[in-house]
Amino acid sequence: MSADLRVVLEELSQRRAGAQDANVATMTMVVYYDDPAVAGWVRERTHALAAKHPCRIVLLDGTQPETAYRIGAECEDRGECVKTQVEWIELGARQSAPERLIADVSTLAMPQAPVVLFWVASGIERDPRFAALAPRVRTVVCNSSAIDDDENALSQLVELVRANDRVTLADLAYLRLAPWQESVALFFDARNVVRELFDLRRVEIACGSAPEAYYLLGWLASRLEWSPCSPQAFCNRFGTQIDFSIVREGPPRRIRRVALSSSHTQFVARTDGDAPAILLTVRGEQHHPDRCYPMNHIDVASLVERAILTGHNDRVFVDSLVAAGEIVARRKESTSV
Amino acid sequence: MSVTGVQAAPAAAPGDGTAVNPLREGLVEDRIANPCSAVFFGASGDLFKRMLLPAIYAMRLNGTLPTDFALVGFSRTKYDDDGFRDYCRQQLDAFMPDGQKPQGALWDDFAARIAYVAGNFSDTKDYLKLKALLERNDRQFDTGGNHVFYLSTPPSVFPEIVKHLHEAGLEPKGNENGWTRIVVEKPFGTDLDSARALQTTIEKVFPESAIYRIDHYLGKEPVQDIIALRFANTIFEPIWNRNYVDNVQITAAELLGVEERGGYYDNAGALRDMLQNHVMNLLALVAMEPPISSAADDIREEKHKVLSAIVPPSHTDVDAMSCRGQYGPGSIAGKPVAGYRQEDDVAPDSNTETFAALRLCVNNWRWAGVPFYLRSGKRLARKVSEIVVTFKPIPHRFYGESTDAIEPNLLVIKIQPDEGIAMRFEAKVPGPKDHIRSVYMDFNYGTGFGVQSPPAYERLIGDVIRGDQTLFTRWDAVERAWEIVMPVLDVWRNTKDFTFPNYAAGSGGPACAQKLFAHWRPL
Repeated sequence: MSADLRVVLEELSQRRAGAQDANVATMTMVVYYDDPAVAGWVRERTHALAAKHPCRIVLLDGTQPETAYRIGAECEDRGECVKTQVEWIELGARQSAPERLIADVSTLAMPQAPVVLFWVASGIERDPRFAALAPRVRTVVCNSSAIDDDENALSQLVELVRANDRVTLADLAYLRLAPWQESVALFFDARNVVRELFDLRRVEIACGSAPEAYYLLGWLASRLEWSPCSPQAFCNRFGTQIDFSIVREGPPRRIRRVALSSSHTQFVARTDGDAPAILLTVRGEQHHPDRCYPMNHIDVASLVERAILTGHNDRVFVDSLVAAGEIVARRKESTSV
Repeated sequence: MSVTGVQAAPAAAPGDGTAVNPLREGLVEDRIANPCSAVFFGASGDLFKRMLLPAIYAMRLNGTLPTDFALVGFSRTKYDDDGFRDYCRQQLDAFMPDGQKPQGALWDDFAARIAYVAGNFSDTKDYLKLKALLERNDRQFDTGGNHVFYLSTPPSVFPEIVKHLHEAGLEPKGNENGWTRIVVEKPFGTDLDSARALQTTIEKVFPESAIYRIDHYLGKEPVQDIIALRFANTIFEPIWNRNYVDNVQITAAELLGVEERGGYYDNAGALRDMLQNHVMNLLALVAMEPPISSAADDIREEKHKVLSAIVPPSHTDVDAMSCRGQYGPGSIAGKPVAGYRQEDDVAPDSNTETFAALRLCVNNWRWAGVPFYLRSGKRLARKVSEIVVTFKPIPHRFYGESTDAIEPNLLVIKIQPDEGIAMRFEAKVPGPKDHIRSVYMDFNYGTGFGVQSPPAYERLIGDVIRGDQTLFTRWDAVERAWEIVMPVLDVWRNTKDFTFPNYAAGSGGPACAQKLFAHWRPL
């Protein structure tokens, strides 16, 4: 026996009637999770996002039976009398059939606003519920470095984008790289330095979890036309080998250091403890004064927000993901042999 | 294994002279790429410490400032580099919000890029020192020979600074390595003649493409939203004309008095301080024709065209088309406040207006016959900046009880303190009778997008470094705005208003405003 959505909607409507001046909604956000260990994390991040984007949250709780539901409609006063509307609906979704989830989301989604799916569960495209929901929403947001084992998650995402080009996908593990991509690109902006990109010989990434490192390697490979030619090396289109290594260091989902070496110059971007900044040093032939780049907006709510606002598949992301998948596959091949 | 399915960016081959950075494609960060040194004349002044420095540091924190950036203060106050860094840190501690105070690696990096020239605005030797410093910055911080000169000084020294920049070889022509831009704070002149004289001085040294006349009002998000509202929607533009619009009101009302600016204000007045620039810019954005693109000069061209369509009042029409006021003692929020003539640095018999209102007509196809009412004043009943478009009444009444007033529709573009759009329309009161009442549909940007608008100076300084002049006023528009207000200015400065003070502080303004237009939105 599942929750009666008519009751849910009726109760929601009554609560909304009591909320003065709350009249803006930007989306329906469907969140699915199935691990009790991440429940608090998911709720906290979802609340943070909803505080910035008035919306209806449909939280599909894979740890609770279908009969459970809880709703709330609130008008939060966020200072200076700015009010925001958050409608919060939680439905138990343990062992829900895909058809059931589709029906629930169709009933509860606001017709006038886009639907975003934030999927925080293992399985991804191999889960029939995900496969059923994903094509019905405008944007799918997942977090490969928080689910499954890291490398499998990436492989599954590659399968997903290859199999279904209608899904607009975003991965928080990739979005988190933005300040690092900017920092690495900064090294090569000057006309006399850009050629160093074609003379790179080695890349080292120190990181607390693998997807971010693979994404960064995939991004470099896709931009510079590198192909994995061994488990620890790329080859560029002239056949030159670029060695790479991933060093596990620091907390999960955080990059600590990216070091690139060409024949005569070393480019290093690194964090300094917990400071929200990336220090950029260039030593050798192309020496440049040390610089600093701020590391902002890497909290989950900001990343999800970025994913939502993008609204279409980012080609550079897809290229990076596919290239990252190639690296993972190459490394798996060598392990299995 | 190849990276199949990957469409790589067109990477340049080694040795290819046309190489561009292939890593740049698709990056999402908002960093401004152009490296530069920014020189702030008047760096020990109020504007720098309260607005400009915090804006620059906020840009540093949010990542928009170029990484290869250096800041130079130039002022008479005696500091060395370290002393000026300490001063900057103190000001940032005072004026940055919690969580953004200077600290850690970002501050260390920022501080290392701060330098100072203790100089006299009229001494070429000090400009030569500045030149040497900028060359050092280019070498030390890779600032690329790009220079911004920001004039945050009293306007009286603008010509002197420009002249000495030229003599020291710091003008754009003398810069072979990069670009040179000058930012000129308002007011640009004190009347038409002085504005033209200032322009003549500046244009001898800087081409129009290098002059950024800043009006911080234009950096406010809701002002930019006027363009989006008009040209990113289809529902407004078809009714945005004389067939549907009855009148347009533009209000910039302040609760504050002249505070510590009595000396400046007593020589300026509301007409020069607000109407000629801020309010006239709002009028231009509301009334201009659709630009052919969002390019700076396409928008600025349309703004100039619409200002050109305004016929300045003749001297004999000034009384009928304008209203001036000066506040006397009164009360704000229940507390008594002094009258204007009792303020510091204000003449006890001052004839300066603290309230100005105008009725203007835009004589073109779109707006013929639609009056535009502009008003601005200090010590009014509330702080509000807004544009109110009042639509024509319904042509024929067949609905509602005979005693019900059917109000015309209003579109209110709220600029401050609220930022948003409100629409007034008529609706039936539920019940058996056909009563009609006005209701408001109210959209607030803070609610709709959940983010606070960035401060105007962040946007504008960023645009200077980017080289985007869209939000800066072109000379022809400045000149035209002066031409429009000059007859009023002439009459007002040559005739004493013996009714002054003619409104109480904290009130809705002088009675003549109601004579000019009876349907202002209440303050």
